[in-house]
Amino acid sequence: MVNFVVRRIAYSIPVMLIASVLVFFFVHETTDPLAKYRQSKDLTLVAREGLRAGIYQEPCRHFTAPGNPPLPVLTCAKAPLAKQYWFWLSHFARGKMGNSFTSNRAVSRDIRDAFGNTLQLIVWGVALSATLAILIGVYSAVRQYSMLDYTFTGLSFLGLSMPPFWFGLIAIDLFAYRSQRWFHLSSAPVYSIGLHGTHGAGLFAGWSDYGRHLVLPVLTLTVQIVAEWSRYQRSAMLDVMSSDYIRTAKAKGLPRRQVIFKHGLRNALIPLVTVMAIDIGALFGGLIVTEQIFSIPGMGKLFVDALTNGDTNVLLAWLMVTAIFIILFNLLADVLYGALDPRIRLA
Amino acid sequence: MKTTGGLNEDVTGEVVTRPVGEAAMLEGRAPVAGVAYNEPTAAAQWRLVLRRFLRHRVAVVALVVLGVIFLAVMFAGQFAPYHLNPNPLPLLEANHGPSGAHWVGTDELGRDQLTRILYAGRLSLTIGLSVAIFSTIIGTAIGAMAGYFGGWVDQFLMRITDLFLIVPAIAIIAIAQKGLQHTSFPIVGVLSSSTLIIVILSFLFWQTIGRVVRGLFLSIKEKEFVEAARASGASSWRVMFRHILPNIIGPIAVNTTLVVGAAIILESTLSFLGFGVQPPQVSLGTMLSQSESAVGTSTAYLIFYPGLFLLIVVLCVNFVGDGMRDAFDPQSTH
Amino acid sequence: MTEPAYLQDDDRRDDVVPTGSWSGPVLSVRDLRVRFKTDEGELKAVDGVSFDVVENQVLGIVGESGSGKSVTSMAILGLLPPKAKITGEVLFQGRDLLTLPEKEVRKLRGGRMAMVFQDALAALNPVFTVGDQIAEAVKVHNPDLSGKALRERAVELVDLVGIPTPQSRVDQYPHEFSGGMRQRAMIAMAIANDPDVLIADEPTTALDVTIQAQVLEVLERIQERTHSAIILITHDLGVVAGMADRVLVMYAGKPVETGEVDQIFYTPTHPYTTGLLASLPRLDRRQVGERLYRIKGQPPSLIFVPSGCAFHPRCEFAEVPGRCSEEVPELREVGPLGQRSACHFAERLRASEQALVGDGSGT
Repeated sequence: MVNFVVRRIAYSIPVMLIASVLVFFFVHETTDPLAKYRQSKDLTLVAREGLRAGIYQEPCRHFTAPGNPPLPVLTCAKAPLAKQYWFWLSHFARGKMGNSFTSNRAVSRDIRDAFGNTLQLIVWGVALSATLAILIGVYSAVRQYSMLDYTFTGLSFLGLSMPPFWFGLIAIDLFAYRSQRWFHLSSAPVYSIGLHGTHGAGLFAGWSDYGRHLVLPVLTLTVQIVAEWSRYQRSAMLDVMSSDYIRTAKAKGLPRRQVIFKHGLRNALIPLVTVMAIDIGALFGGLIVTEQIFSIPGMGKLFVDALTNGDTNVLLAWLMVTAIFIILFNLLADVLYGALDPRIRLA
Repeated sequence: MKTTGGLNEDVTGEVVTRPVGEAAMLEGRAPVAGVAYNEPTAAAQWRLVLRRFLRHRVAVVALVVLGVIFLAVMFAGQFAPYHLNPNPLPLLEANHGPSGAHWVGTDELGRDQLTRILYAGRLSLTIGLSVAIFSTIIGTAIGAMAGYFGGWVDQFLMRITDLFLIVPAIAIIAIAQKGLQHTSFPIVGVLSSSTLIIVILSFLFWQTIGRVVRGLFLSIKEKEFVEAARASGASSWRVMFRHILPNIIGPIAVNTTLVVGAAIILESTLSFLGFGVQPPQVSLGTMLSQSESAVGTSTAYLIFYPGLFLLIVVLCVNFVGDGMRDAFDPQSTH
Repeated sequence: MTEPAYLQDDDRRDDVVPTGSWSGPVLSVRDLRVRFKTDEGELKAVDGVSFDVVENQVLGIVGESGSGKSVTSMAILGLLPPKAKITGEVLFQGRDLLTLPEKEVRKLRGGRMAMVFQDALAALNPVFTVGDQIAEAVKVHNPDLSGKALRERAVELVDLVGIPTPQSRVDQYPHEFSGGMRQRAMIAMAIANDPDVLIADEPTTALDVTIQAQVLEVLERIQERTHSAIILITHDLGVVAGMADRVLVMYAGKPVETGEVDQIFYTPTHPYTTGLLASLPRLDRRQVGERLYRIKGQPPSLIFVPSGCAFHPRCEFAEVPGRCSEEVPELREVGPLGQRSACHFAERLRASEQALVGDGSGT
């Protein structure tokens, strides 16, 4: 097992490196890391900051620009792109990701904060989605072709066919705004902006506030994921339930519940768990739209802002961090598969 | 048991018979057995597939609905009740909800929404279809070579897809779109934003199809009829195109259909964020982006109807895809 | 080296609940019919099967794929899906299983009646150890046993079927066993509660010939100890010849011939049976240039069953058009000891067979 993990990580490193190269060149083509400084029209500042960021290199020379009063200016040679890349990579590996233009803070700090917010969405969303998906999937498989099965199937199709942001907007409209009018409430029952509002006094008020902020974004997130996972679970469950060992379990005289859950579900969960792990890994960079609609300051919003503002440092770090998480979770998926299925010897 | 789907291999007209398997009996899906029959010709097999598809009422209805929508948007000029960009702007009619004159209302400039939805739908559908077609062509070509020949083509395909797996698709596309929009590359800079999106999305989706096709080729490559074809002297290309490919058209077609839906949603998401279709072009995503601020107001219908249109289109596409999957491979558990 | 446990005479029968006052056949199947509704019509999987199984006896049910033999055994244990329409009687010690509530049948399943399936790799749950699965079979019918006792019983059973080092084997997973061992593990699971009826559905089909013999031997030894009735379902006549006491030949869901094993092999009275026997490759009767015999044609559709006798399209002696294509033959007595055949010309066949065979010795 340890061998397997080590080998997988070793394999991922070159992939990451190649990805980082491509990402670096691409981002540098489309953004200007010194844009903020150029705005100040102070060329010396630009040169100095450029030196610091490894974009410029020696030799530098001073000269005086004409004007009244005459300006001392520093200009430096532009470092070759490869050298810039190496500079950036070596710093990134040590956790130094530079500063963000938009927030003026260390990128690592921005990412950490954003990550924390996204993580909350993911944790609640996945917990809810997984529970629902498994329940729906098992039920649909065991009662195949029943009315409820068709209903669930229809709903999953709906969930898969719907642009997720549209659902979010409609949900906000209905639950945060219209519900207030219809039920004559004094304030909105659920919120649509951010993750925290004004905390009331006490623990309960704090949790209630938190919950009311969470409900809609988590719901939006859940709808897409449950649609996919429940279909998958249903299909896996159907496969499993038609296996010979289920027939054997019945032939042993086991009660139906035990057959379904102990023998059936246990086997059907194996592929589902791996899919879940992979999907969760993708979520870290995949909540862009949801966070946008609900103005949640998470990884998604960080990305959008960075892209809009051409914030190179943030973009580079963001891409690398999300890639690392995706790789980690893909690895987790394989490890889980090996752990749950004794037939797989992780070699 | 998962089958590779697809039509039956033997087109030489050999006598093939199938006894009833007891397992199949227990499932109640025993094929009619025992009477020796000639393996149906290719044409007859297509008819069989068609017949199975037509048995799915939902898929057929969805196909009809799609057909109607397709016609409506392609001939938007004829069907739209108003002009897309009326001049002068009918500001007096601004922000009217759905009514007899404007079935789905007007926006803040008085423009009829149904008209805009039709034109926007045309763009969104065009993008979806184009992406599906291009990615299928490229993906099938590369996937076939990778699966059949193996070697460096295979390595190339797998490494590229690995690379793109580890970064979130939306992020890459957004950066690409932004980057290529104002780039120094002469050709690319001239492309309209929608064409650019088609190119970028095709570059993403061909990998999905490529992997699927590769897998199919890998599994079919080992079957006897392929060996037979090669033994009779067929060149590799001939084997690939005349023998293997016709058998996997089913799964490929299903995947292509699903890509249409996925591409439409992805484009609308990107446009909504501002990283897709750019004004002055109008797609359903841009419409939704512009109307985002209408949430909670009396003009919320500006959000509802464009999205609903999208939903119906993609839903129908998915139903058709599902029906196709059943038609080509009726024994998959689902 | 001590004998394996299952060969030691160990009078275990004492602690088993006796079968009570029931003295008739352990299992009696009367006119069992199983039908499925399909898109093309009604599929008659089993069409009027009756037989008795007596304790300490092996009944071999023989037929091709699609003859209905497996469906029969599943119907007996109540393992068919709800959409199957089952009529007839399945009397286990006098009680009709088809009319019992599911809860009662479940008590018998795996307890007094058990089944061994064909492909042990597929029939055993891959994520649980063999010991766990055997213990589970015991626990379902003996809920009060402790974990320790369950494990001991599992080890005992694994030893009973002749698997070496049972203590360690019990903690292994099915995929870690060889094919023959796996099949023995399945048998161990089936006999966990000393069943009165053991149904073995193609237990050796997936195995090598040498392993087949071992597995069959295990079944024999177990019957010697427990005197249970065994129904052995197979398409392999060699297996039947070695183990069965009585034989039931099925075709297209119907019984076509039944009788003592010697009768079936030496004086068959149905063309299908003779066809099956003739198509066995023989080492002792080789003539240069002689082709292997095979019954012409294919098994029929069970939805569009041929008129009259279901075998007539493939029968060498059939009278077509005539009785064979118009009249469904009844299963009737054609010989001593309850030999029955469903052929219009059974007597003629029997007579010609006897002329060939003489007094029954030699071939």
